[in-house]
Parts: sequence; structure tokens; C-alpha cells
Amino acid sequence: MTDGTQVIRAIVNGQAVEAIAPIRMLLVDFLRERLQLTGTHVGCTFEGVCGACTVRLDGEAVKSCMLLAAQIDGRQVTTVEGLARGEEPHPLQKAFRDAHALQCGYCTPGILMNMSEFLERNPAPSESEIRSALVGNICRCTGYSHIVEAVKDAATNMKVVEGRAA
Amino acid sequence: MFPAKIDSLSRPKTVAEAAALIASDEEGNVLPIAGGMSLMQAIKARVVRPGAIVDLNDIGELKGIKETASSVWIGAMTRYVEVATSDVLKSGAFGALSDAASHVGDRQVRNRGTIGGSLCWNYVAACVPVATLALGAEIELVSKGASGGDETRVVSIDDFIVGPMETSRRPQEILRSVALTGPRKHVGSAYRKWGHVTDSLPVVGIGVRVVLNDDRTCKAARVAIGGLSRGSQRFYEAEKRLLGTSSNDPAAISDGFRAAAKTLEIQSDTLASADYRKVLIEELGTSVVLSAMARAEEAAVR
Amino acid sequence: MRNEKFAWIGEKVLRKEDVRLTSGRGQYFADIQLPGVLHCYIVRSARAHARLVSVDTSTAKASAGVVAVFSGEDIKDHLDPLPHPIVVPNLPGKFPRHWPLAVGKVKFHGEPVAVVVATDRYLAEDAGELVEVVYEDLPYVGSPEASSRPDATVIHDDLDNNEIFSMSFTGGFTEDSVKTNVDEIQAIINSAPIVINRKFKTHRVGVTPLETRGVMAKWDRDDGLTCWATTQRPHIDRLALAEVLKIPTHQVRVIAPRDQGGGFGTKAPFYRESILIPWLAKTLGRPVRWLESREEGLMVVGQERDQRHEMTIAANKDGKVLAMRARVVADNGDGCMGVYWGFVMPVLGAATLPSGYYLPKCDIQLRSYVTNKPSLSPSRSFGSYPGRFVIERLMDILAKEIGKEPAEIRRINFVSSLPHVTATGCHLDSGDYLKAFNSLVDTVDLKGFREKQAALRKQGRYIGLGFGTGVEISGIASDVFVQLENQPGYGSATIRIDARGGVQVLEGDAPQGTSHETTFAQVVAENFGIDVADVVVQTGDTANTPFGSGSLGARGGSYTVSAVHNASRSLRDKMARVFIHDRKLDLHVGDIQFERGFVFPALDPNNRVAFAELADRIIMKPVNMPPGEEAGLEATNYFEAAKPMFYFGAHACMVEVFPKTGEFKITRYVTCEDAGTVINPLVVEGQIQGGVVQGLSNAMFEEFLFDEHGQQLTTTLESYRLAIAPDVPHVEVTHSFTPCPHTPLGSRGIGEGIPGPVPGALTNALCDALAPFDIEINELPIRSDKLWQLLRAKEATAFQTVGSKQSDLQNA
Repeated sequence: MTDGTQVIRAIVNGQAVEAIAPIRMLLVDFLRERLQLTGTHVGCTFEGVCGACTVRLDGEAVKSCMLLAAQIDGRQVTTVEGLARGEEPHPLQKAFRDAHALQCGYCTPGILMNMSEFLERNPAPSESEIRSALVGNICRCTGYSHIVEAVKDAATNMKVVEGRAA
Repeated sequence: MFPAKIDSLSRPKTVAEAAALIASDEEGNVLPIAGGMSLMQAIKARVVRPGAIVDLNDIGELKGIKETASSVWIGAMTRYVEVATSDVLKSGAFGALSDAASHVGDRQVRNRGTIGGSLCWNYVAACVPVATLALGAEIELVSKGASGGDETRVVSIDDFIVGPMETSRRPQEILRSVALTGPRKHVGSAYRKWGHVTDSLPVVGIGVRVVLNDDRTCKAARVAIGGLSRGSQRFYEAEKRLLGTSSNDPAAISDGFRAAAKTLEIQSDTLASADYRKVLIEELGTSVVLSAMARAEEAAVR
Repeated sequence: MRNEKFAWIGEKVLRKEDVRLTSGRGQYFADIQLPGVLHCYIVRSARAHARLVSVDTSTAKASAGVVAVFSGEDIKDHLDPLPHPIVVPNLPGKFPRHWPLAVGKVKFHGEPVAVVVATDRYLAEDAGELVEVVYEDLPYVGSPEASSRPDATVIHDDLDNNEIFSMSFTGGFTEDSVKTNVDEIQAIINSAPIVINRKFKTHRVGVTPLETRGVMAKWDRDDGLTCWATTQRPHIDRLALAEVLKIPTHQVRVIAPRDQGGGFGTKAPFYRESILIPWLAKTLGRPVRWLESREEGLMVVGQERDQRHEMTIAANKDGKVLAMRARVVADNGDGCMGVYWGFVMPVLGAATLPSGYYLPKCDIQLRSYVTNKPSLSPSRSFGSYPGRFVIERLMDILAKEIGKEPAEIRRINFVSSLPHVTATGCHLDSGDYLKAFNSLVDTVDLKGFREKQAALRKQGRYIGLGFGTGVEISGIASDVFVQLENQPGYGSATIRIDARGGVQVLEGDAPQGTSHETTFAQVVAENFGIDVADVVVQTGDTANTPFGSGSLGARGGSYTVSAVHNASRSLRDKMARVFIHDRKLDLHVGDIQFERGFVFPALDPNNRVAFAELADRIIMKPVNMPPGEEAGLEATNYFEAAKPMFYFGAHACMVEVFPKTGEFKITRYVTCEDAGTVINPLVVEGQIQGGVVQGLSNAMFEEFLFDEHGQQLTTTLESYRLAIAPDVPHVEVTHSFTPCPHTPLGSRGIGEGIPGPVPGALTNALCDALAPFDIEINELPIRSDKLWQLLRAKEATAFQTVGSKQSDLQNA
């Protein structure tokens, strides 16, 4: 029995990549194992609830454990490793550090990717909007308060920075 | 945990291509995938083991929301987020669908999951089937005909929803669109759900569409409910009791739901007792009706 | 500004971990790659209780990519079962014999039955499906009630009955002395003006981290075993592996990955998988890796609490408690879990049941019964979550009985003079509980709240305020720990200064988000007067760290940081001595200052040397050293506090309840903790906020459920619901400071027990809101459904229940 495979050509974090993967390989496993981008994490089995695997596919925050790697052929993906601009951290990354918005850090990449898209669509969110936007990201360590603060701070700073894209 | 072996994945660009791929499957091994927010759970749990996947995500003609004089056409591959943010659908008459789509899962799910996928999956507690049932809609199904061209048929949403996880879509058919028809003046709709955590799969979800008389009493109503073991269903008893009610008398509306709930088959399970579901039905139903009526009144003013 | 003097303790220093963790450069278990590693898939029991008639692995072995498949029968003659002394506590319990894979029978839904080893995880799962298991069902024993019946099926073949632990925690150690105590307490109860009897139930729930477990091992004939594991206790694991696998200890190396995605106790036990994977590596001679799925985790790990309390308190007319009697029963699960065996958590819970209240007359007994469920395994607030709920509810019930404010009843009953030894022998060392509690009461403006409450009641709105308090372990002294777990409690650390003035801190415990990398660096940097950036903390590798019993029980901020401090102080003193000698000064070490990278006499700052230069002198140029002084700058310290330590926390919760549906909203949540000297306020605040939300999540959303056949119903995060952001409040953190007299920095460890006061605070708030309806909530979890049922039961005699029972799916 041969495993159906596919050649995948995509732009990941701005770089063209090409790799062969089994069709059944999940995108999150492809990113972590084939591309060695281990910043994206796995926190649940098949239910796709925890959000630790969130990446941006053609700019949209999606859960990479709920996609097959083959589905990104011809598309663009950004992971947490691609969030900063060179040495310049994304305002969210800076805000998370400043607000102590992470403890074990396991949920953090998924939250950063989700929030980076959220803030682009909602540049001035209220606390309640931020909390609602975090429904798809489970955090166990922080209790969410510092995360909410960090997102608010980042929103303020992002207004200052022009033209940030995924 | 991980999918069983999948032999092939194709990404057709048109409905005709997709229909042909599915028609070519004789063993029932080919599965179309939309957003995958439910299907991927089943594939990863190995409850479903497709040999071949037809990925519908590249088919442009399945996407979009178009308003015509008489209806609103929604392509099956339209994402929840597009439905949720569509100005066309936010209007009073179609608010139920907008409400439902705004609160499915979480924002990552809403970026990816689709209206068509939700309807075809028809999970027992899902939001979109209930909202669509409340609105009344026409479901367009397409398959590759014997002669080689596309064969289309349209079914009402009432005929489309059969039972939990069951629809009248034939295995070789693709759901192409959802059309919301009917007048908009004096019409309002709303949907709300109750779950243990925010935006979770609901314990109970209720969608309502009301048509008001000039004196703001209820002329006609469609009520749909989800989360009971029979899955998304019309709540005819509640509809009857809504006739003649108005937002001036919420107590009458509550009374109606309380009485109507007695006619439903309601389960007790780990999520809630049957008695509590009845309380929720009364509370939720009243709240949803009042929202729908307010939207209808707004629509009347415009 | 303090930072100009490089005085770091007490500062909100940004965490050193965070640049890498926000950039996706964390190094978690699953990120570590080993060339040629094989992957495991564990086949788990589909039944809760059954004889294993056969486990046929032949088809699986022939599956693509499979290297080996083992069942319990395959391994049992090649591998010692547990118990082994290193993972057995000195407690009067029983330790059921078990191998990593089931032998003869399965005892809970999810117990490992076979393991597939293959070239990739997907192929391993394919093969796992091909393992054929034939079961012969046995009766499911699903509760302590069922398990303790004389005619109950005995679950463990090597035990006579299902009682795995039974002990009295009061009245000494002989049958006679215990009976004397029981009688004395009964006599007090008999003659007391106020007697309150209540039963309490706390559900099966725990604290599950976002990162699941993993074990990876490689075996080399000459170098021995190297094992990477998500573990809180690498040194303990090392000893255990050496003992069980019969490898000399010096040939075993355990590495906890630099980053771990939370532990909360779930990564402390010595699990079946902890043994199995290294054994596979040794047997196959190839590196082997197992990464737990969430489903496996929910079936095995993080199931804690699950206790019932039958309580009696006797009080005088003023509300002072005269005596307390507790009969505690725990649902142990199968108990096959190294170190904890299911009952060690309830043991600590029973031992700390008096909490921070003055209760010298207690009669506390605990029994734990084996059931066909996974063993209870540690979770944050280790064992004490149910007990805190119970005693905080009792205080409010007593307050209602007496007609006083719950706050007042607490004031009357807190331990006011410390140190104090409780009736169970717990040593409460220091603090000022009244001060912390009163500070909290001020912050929430109790009086103002009562006025608002009364006004709103007239409008038909129901708001409530509830308190919950708790003393929680701040590290665990060897006195206690040796008994509890056969392990020492000291904190340990090695400090190593290099010739360029950089400093390495080597800690044998493994943090999981507990910020050791930053807080320890702060302490060291302040002692040496250098930049926090120049101090690097490395943890969790047994090859280069001193023995430590692990990251648990809030040891970090109490014991380990004290060792870090002491070791760095001893090196600082040595450097001062050399400096004094070199400059021929007539001074003592106390006269020498270390500041901003320089070393100088306080009274003569110009007579200085750079810290780095002095280090270089001592390490690289050790000539003309002071007599008797060695070269080099490395020190290891083992810190043991004079006595076991506890910290105190008080929580206040405000709610609004909607009686029509039983729904409620938490409108405010405030804590007041006495953490002693706070090294990093940001870190402490984060710990408290996170712990409170875990406590709320346990009380409101999470529950492990089993059906009538013992099938686990909560094996995904859709069914086992964890708290998400919109459903929890912002937690306000305040402090009440008393220094800890037993640690060099005056710090207390916090973190472990923070969820403890939460259920009491929440349920007391709900009962306070619903006081007009005379509602008591004495069972967890809290659900609007249950609240509504309690309200209906009080209101309408015409209420008719539906035929089906809600408890259908709970334990029989």
C-alpha cells in the first residue's frame, strides 16, 4: 500500500518552499517536521479547539491542525517565526514581553498569530472584543488578564506603525 | 489522532470539475471537503476514511453573497466570517443567519468554515442549519448528469434537513448555494444559542423569523430549534403560539414557548437536564423572538 | 532608579524567556529531534474492567514501517513492575503491582495494553489499529461507595480488597490514642451549643497543561541511557529509571527540555510511559520517542480532587469553632501511578484540612478506594482543593447559623499566633493571616457592598460576596517530604562564575513556565551587582545540576531560590575576601559592595575592581591567594528551612445571579496574598491570576465523566471544557507583606495552592447572593442547571421533575 503523496510548493514566511508530503499529513506536522518551524504547537488531538496551532493562511488566522499540508500548495503561510520584520519585533511580540503575557509560552505563538490578524481587522478593540476574539486560544498559565492588556497595548502601538501586513 | 491513508487530493476550479470527480467515484470513497472544520475532526479521528478528497476551496463560483431583487444568493463556500460581516445579511430579515455565523466556534473557525459545509454536516447542535431553517431557504444541489452536463435541483431547507447528521443531499451532489427568499418588509429574524462556555456548540439554539402585521402583531412565524436529539428541526407548536403576539407582551411569548416546549422530545444528558433545557427554550425563545420583532419593526420603518 | 544600582529584587524585570518564546524559538519536548528516532503509538484499553483474554500483535507487526510491537505479556518477564522503593512513599497505603502495559487484566478505560514502535507516528497509529484485543468484561466498579461494599469485585489481584489507604490524621499513632481522640471530639460535639453537620462532594477534575507529555530515550552500550521527558522532577526520574531498569545511576541521564508547556503537577508522577519508553530504547537498541495525544492525556492525566467529606463542626455561641470532625473518602482510581499511587494527594488534603483556622480539636480520617478509573494524579493545589472548598463553606454556614458576617466568623477563627502546629501536625510557620484578610476586606469594601446588595434586592436583583482563604504549602521540608514521598525537600543550586564575569546557575528542578530563568537571575545579579543579562539559568539536566526533588509545591520561590541566593552569597563572600586580601584592606566581607559590575569598599568607591576582572583573577590567576582559600568560583548550596513553611492567601469573589435560569456572572475577583519578599511582582501577579482562573475553570467548566460502563466521556477539549477568556474575570491581585523568617530573602514560594480558595469564594458568593432563598451549594461543579434546580426545589412545591435522572451518567 503506497501512501498518496503530493509536492507542495508554497510561500512560508516569505520564502518559497518545496517539499513532498503524504496527502494525509496535517499542515501543523508539515510545518514542524518538514520545514523545522517548531514555533507552531499542538495542544489537542483531532478536535481543533485549543488554538495553539494557529497560523495565517493567505493572511487569515486558521488552525493548522485542521488542514492538510497539501491544501497550502500555491498559497502563502505565515507562522510565528515570520511575525517579526527582521530584528524588529511585531508590536504584539513586544507588548507580550512587556506585559508578562506568557508564562510557559506554549499557547503564545497561536495567540500572536490570531491576534495579529484580529488587530488588523479591529484596530481599536474593547476588552470584551479582545476576550471574545480569544475564544479559539486556550491559555492555562496566565488567566488571560495580561494577554488582554498586551493586545490592547499592541493595538495602540500598531496605529502608529503603518502598512503592517501579515 | 492522524488521518488514515488518503490516496489523492484534487482541487478543482469549477463546480463541473468537482461534480465530475465525485461522479467518477464508484466505491463511495471520494469525499468533498469545504472548510473542513467538522470534517477534519472526523477524518483525524478516523471515523471517516476518505480514499480521495475533492477540495472545494478553489472554486470561485461557489463563493460570494449576491443580492437580487427577490433573494439573497449565498455560495456554499462562503465563509462564516463573510456571512457574519455582510451588510446585506445584517438587515432585519436575515439577521438570524448573521447571528449564527458570528458565533460559530471561534474566529479561526469562522475564517475557514463555510455555510455549505455546516448545512451538509448538519450536526445535531449546529447553528447555521437552525438559522437557515428559521429563515426558510432554497438549497441548490448540483451533480454531474448522465448526459455529462450539470444536473441541478432545488430543495427547500425543510426538505433538505432530514435528521441529525443527515440531509437529502445525494452522495454525488454538491451543495452549490443557499438562496434566501421572501419579502423583507415587516420581516425580522434572529438566532441565539446557549452553551456552557462562550460560543461553544450549543446545548440549545433557537432561530426565529417573524412577519409582522401593520399593528406589529405577529402575522407569521418560523421557529427552528437545535441541540435536541432529533437535531435541527422546525418548532411548529411554538410557531402557532406566536401568531398574534407582539413585543408589547413578552409574557405571552414566554407562555407560548413554555407550553410549546412540552410537546418536544427533550433529552437529559451530561450537558443539561431536560427540565433545564425547557427553561432555556423559554428564555432563549422569548429573547430571540423579541430581537426578531425589533428587527422587523426597524425594517417596517425603513 | 533601582536598576541603575543593579538592585533587581522586587523589580518588574522583563522575563529572559520571552524573546525566544514570542519568536517561536522555544525548545519544547516535541521540538527536540533525534536522528533515526522511532515513534511509539500506545494501544489503550477499550474497557474499564476486563480480563485480557488475548492481545494479538501479529498483524500489527507486519504493518508498514513497524519495528516492534509489545504487549504486557511480552515485557513482564523482562522488566520489573512497580512498586519500587524510590517511588513509594512512607505512608500506610498499598501499592498495587503493575507493569507499564496491562498484564492479565485492564482496570480503566485507557490503560496501556500494547505499544507499537514504527518509523513514523502516522504509520504507528495505522499499526495500532491492527492490534487485536479480546476482553472478558468484569463488573465496573465506579465509585468509592461501590468499591467499599463487602461484596465488591476486588480490582487488584494482589490486594485483598479495594481499600488502598486508610489513616487517621489526628490523635497520634496508636489505635488507642486515635480512639481517645475520637471520643474526645465526640464529647465536645455533644456538649456544644452549635453543631453543624454537612456532606460535601468535589468532582473529578484537575489542571491539564496545554503541552501534553512526552518521553524520548536513547541507549548506548557505553554511555548508558539518555532520556528526555516532560518532567517536573528529572533527578527523581533518573533514580527511578536506574532502579527499575537496573542501570547504574551514573549511567542514566534525564533531561527536562529547556521549555515546558505547563506542568501543574501532571508532569511529576513516574508514569507507565516514563518506564516503557526507556525500556524500549534499551531493548531495541534504537532511540524511541512517544508524544502523548490530548485524548490520551485526558484519559490518564490530571484527574484529581474527587473527594467526599462528611463534616461536623461544633462551635460556641460566638462562632468560635470548638471541634471539627471529618470523614474523607477519595475515589482513588486504579492507583497505579509511581510516587503518588492516587492517595498521596488526598493525604495532603486531609493533613491540611484545618487550613489557617485555629482548630486544635480535630478528628480527621481519610479512606481512599480503588475504582476502575485512571489513578488520581497530582494537580495544582495538590490534594487540598476539596478541603479548602469544604472548610470555607462551613465557615459561611456557621456564620449564617450564628447570624454574623462570614468575614467576622473567619476573624474569630483564624490562627492569630504563629508559629502554630495544627491538630494534624502541620507546622504553620509565619505570616499574619488576620492582616492579609482584613486588607482584602478593606479592598472590597464589605460595608459598601452590603448596602448595595440590600438596595438591589429591593429591585429583584441578587448580588453576592464570598470569601475563600487557604494556607498553602510553600515548598516541602525534608521532615515532611521524606515521609510523604521518600524524597528530600531541600532546594539546591550550583552557581558557576566564568573567567569573564558571566554567571551560570544550574538548577536540578525543571520549571514549566514558572519563570525561574528570570527570578533566579534577579537574585544572583543583585548579589553580584551585575546585569541580569549576564546571568544564565540552566535547568533540568541531571548531568550538570545538583539533585533536586523537582518543581512542585511552590519550592521555587521558597527553597530553590534560597539555595540560589546562599550559593551566590558564598561566592560573593569569597570574592570579597580575595579582594580584601589583594588590596590589603582591614575590612570584613560585609564592608565590600558589589554594584554596577564593580567591587569596592563601601567607604572607598574609587578603590575598585571590575567584577569580571576579579573573577578572572580567582579562576585564571590564582597566585597569592589568601591563605586557605581555593581557586575557582563555583558553589553548590543545599537549603533546608528550619521548619516547613506555608503561605496564606485570601480571595473575594463578587457575583450577580439570575434566579430565573440559575445563570451567574462574576463581577469582581480580588486576592490578597502574603508571598513575603516578592522577587518579581509581574511574575507573582501572573501566577496568581493564572491560578485563580484554573480554580474557576475547575469549579465551573471542567469535569471528568464516565458512563455506567466506565467509558470515559471527556476525552476531547470539546467535552472537557477549559476556561476561555470571555468567561473569566480579570483578577485583581493585592499583597499583604510579612517577611518569611526562615528563608534568606524572606520570600515564600507561591503558586501551588492558589486554586484552593477559589471554589469557596465562588460558592460562598453565590450562596450569599441567593441568601433570600436559603440556598446551600455544597457540591462541585457549579452549573447554572444545578443552581436552577436548587432554586426550584426551594420555591415551588408544584414543581414536577422529569423522569430521567441527571445522575444517570455519574458514578453509581
